[in-house]
Amino acid sequence: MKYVPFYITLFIFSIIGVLAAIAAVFPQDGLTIGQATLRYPTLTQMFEQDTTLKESPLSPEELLAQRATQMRIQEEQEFLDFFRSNEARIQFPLKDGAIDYTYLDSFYYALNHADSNAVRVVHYGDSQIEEDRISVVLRRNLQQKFGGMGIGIVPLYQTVQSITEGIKTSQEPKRYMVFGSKSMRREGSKRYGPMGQTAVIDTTISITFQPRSKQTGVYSAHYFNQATLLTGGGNINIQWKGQKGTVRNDGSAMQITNLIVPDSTTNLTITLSGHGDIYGISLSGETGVNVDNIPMRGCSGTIFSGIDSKQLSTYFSATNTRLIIMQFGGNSMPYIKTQAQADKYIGTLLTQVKYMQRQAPQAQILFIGPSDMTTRLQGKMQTYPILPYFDEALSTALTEQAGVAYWSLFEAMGGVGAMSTWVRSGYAASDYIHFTRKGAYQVGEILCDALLTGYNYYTWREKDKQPIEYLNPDSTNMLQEK
Amino acid sequence: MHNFLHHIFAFDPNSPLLFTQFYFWAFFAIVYALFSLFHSKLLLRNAFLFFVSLFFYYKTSGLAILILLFVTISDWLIGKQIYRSKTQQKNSLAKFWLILSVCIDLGMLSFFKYAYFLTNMINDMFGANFEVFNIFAWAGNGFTADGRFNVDRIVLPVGISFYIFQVISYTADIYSERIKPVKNFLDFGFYVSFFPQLVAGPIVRASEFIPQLYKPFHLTRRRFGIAVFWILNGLIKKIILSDYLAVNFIDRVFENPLLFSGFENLSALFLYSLQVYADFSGYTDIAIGVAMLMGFYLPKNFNSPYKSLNPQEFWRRWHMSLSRWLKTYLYIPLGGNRNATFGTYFWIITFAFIALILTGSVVAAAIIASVGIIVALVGVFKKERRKKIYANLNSFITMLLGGLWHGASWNFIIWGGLNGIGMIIYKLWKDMSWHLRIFLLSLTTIAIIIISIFFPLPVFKLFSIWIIAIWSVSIIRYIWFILTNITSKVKDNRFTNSLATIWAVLQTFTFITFTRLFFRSGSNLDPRTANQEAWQTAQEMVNQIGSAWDLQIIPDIVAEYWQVFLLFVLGMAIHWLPERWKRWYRLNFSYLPVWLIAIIVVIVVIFVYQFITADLQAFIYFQF
Repeated sequence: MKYVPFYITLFIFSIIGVLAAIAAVFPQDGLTIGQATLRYPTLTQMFEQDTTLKESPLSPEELLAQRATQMRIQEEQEFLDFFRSNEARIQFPLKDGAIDYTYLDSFYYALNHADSNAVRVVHYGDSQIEEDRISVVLRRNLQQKFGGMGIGIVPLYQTVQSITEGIKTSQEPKRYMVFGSKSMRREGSKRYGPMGQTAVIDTTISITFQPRSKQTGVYSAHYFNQATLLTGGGNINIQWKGQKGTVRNDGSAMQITNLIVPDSTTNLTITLSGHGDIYGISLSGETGVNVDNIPMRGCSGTIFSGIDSKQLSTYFSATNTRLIIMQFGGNSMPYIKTQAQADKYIGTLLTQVKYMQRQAPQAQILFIGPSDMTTRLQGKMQTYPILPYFDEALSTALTEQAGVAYWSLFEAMGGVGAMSTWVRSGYAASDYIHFTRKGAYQVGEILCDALLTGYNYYTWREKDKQPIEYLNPDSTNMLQEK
Repeated sequence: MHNFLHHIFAFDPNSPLLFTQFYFWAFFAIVYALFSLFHSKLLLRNAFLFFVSLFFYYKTSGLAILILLFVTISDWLIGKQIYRSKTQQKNSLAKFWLILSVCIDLGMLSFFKYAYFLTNMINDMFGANFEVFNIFAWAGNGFTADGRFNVDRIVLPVGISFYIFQVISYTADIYSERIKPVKNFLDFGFYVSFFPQLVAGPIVRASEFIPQLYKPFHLTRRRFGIAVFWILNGLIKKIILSDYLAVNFIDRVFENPLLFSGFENLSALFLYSLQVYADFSGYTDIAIGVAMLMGFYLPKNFNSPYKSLNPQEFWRRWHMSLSRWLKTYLYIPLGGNRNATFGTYFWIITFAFIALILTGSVVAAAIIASVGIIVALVGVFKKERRKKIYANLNSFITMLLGGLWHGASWNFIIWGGLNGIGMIIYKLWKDMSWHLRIFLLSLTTIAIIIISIFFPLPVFKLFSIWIIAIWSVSIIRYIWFILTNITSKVKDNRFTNSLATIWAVLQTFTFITFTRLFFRSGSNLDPRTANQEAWQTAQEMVNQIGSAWDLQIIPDIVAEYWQVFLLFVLGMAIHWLPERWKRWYRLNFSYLPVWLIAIIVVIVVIFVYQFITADLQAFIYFQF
């Protein structure tokens, strides 16, 4: 018997008809027989996709990528909020009309690689940083995070003792300074060395280092495994730890000699003899972070161009200096009354900053302005009237014209009138100018936090350059890690 | 209304036309109604089915239809050229056209199927970091300028492996003068794209199908019944034995082997053997039934493969249309069991090269190349063994390439290689005396046990248990063999013959199941990461299976998954029913009254629907 397609069409449609008819009468929740439930689709279910699940129009990859992007935008927004409006923020320079949040990236990069290549931060300042104030916090925190040891550079003879390191010099040598009293200047020479002061020896003199660790205990800053001597202008004989050596004058602007000392040395005496300049002695580790504290009492920060450029550049490049902090302004405040005077002073500072930029092209510069300073005016303690303007104008000039970063100590500590509060709370001395040690620690901490927030932002941005892990199909199966 | 039309006509990657969906059967009903109007006009019928097939393919694969059309047109044109050259006695010109056609077709296949594989291979080799680039998408964007194609990804077009093989068989059959070229393009397009077998086979050879193009519709009452039977049979296999088992047990284990115990992993492996068979053969059963209703006969694709007594027989029963295609268009051109040709050496070198990349070891590649070439050279000088050696060499190469055809990852090559090794070992074993068999088997067993003692890795433990089982049974068979030879009281009888058959079937089934480890692990993976992932899955499963088992939990597992295990037992039992029983119930079904057949169809639909909508098996941990 033969079948024609017409019959088969009938067959197919009658089956469809029967199935549809069943669908029309079948209970929607199924037919329960004993314990079992017989299910049957409704007509719409037959021809539609499963509608009970509302499917996301995005694939999991797209959705996760979207989530990750949103997350990143929010995270970045937090960083940007900080750098745009927080009073304690680092103010980044402008570059092509926009804020250059990457300004400190090369410094942060160097910190990340400090374990193989030592990084130096040179902190210049006025009397606010004497005794190793503020620098001490920066040093401790950075060394803790990125490794490193030693206190950095010190002069052969120190008039104000450091709170970190006890330094005794057998006698006071002849000294020249680029700052302070005019009588300390050097006739016909700019050779003051990177610290802006030099000792000239013509006899035997010894210097002894010993940690001041009663309060802090011995920590990274007290250890070192190299002592670096900066000399010039003559032959110097050196004796240390039973070793001897001579630096012969080679006519260069400054000679750098590394004295190798045993690992984890804390105490050291160096005996120097001969004739010549001693620009400083640096105690450091071979890797990690070094932070130099270079206070210049009474200085307004306008003296850097008075230092031999060759000496500065030699020092900065030999020590891999990646950040120069210049903290000045306070000493001029009492003398500046008008905006014009302020602008003129700022102009001088810009010249100095640019001079330093030229000597240390690989380093970034962070300028720290004056703290709040109050004085009695018309019987009331109040902030120097020009100070808010000065801080603002200084910040603008440095970030926009000099292209360096600025940190407003004035804003960070609370702005107008803050000094009075600080004095009352024991954070500042009753001269309404200087911090107490306690106050200086707080300033150091908040400065450090601002720098490290920048570091975190940098790290965060670097992370973005790698694929996000959970989008990477090659990432290890979590089960394997069990 | 717009939505409804859109749903019917537009390509949606999430809802392809599958045989297991109501939507397909509504589509088929309409197609069939129209078909019943056109069926007596052959050209109209063929053209109509061509366009319906194109629509079907578009619904399933979207714009990949352009690839289908491209190879259809190019091979139709080239087919004519080959025929013309042949009739003008220009054999070398005909050969040129054939080579061109094969290059175009394999080029398309390689690009879409093997681009990631080849890119990975080159990157591994040269330490380069190339990315795939979809040149067709790029060109497409150039024409349409709306960036609709993604150039960074190459999506495998559905069914490309199948229809590429079909068009190759067309030009090759013309070349070897088995058929004449098809005059009408619409007829040819219909042959290439015929929708029941377009996406998953069977692979229809030109010489078998083209003649049907010119035959009028003819369907007997019995054939009609058989067609309906195949469709129902396929639906039950596909939905119950494949989809249900996969979703409720197998997929879970394969996706996360480490969450499951050794017993569950081993069960999943065996269940997968049933599943992959039910899935694939179920789909082709439906295709055969659907085609038959329209009066077309597609070749049988599976013949109860797990009844095979040895790996060689398995390949005569499993995916038969592919095996025959490979035999006709690869194995025999390679030289078959007579000769080693240029192709033989070419593939030995190529696979040595692939091994070089796979292992990164020049030594490994050199070993493979030299073993292959030495074997081939022994064939050249040892005339008495020549045939066997060539046959083994060529069939091994065929198995490797057959593996690669299934998917573009190392796992499929390994899978093909294991099948090739299994086949060769079987052939060698078959020709050995019992004494030699036992001697070699004992030697191997001892070696594997020693290895597993010195390197107590799960994989060696697994192998040692397996080979001890084989060895024990072989010893019994050996003793039996000696007894039958020394005394006439002990004789082979029906019982012992059945035992031998059962043993052979189980052993083959176990071996095939073991090779599935590599097969399943490589399926359905993102081609970009298929290699690593597949290998990892296989490794994890072996580790789970080869590590110490907690026997106490087995009853709990079986109890908890009782539906799964029951279906497995039922499925295998039906599979192993004697062929004459199957033929008997098939025939009797086809002779049932049409109204009864219709009622059975309705009941089966309701029945399988229960499995489609069954609650998912709850997720249970047995091992902590």
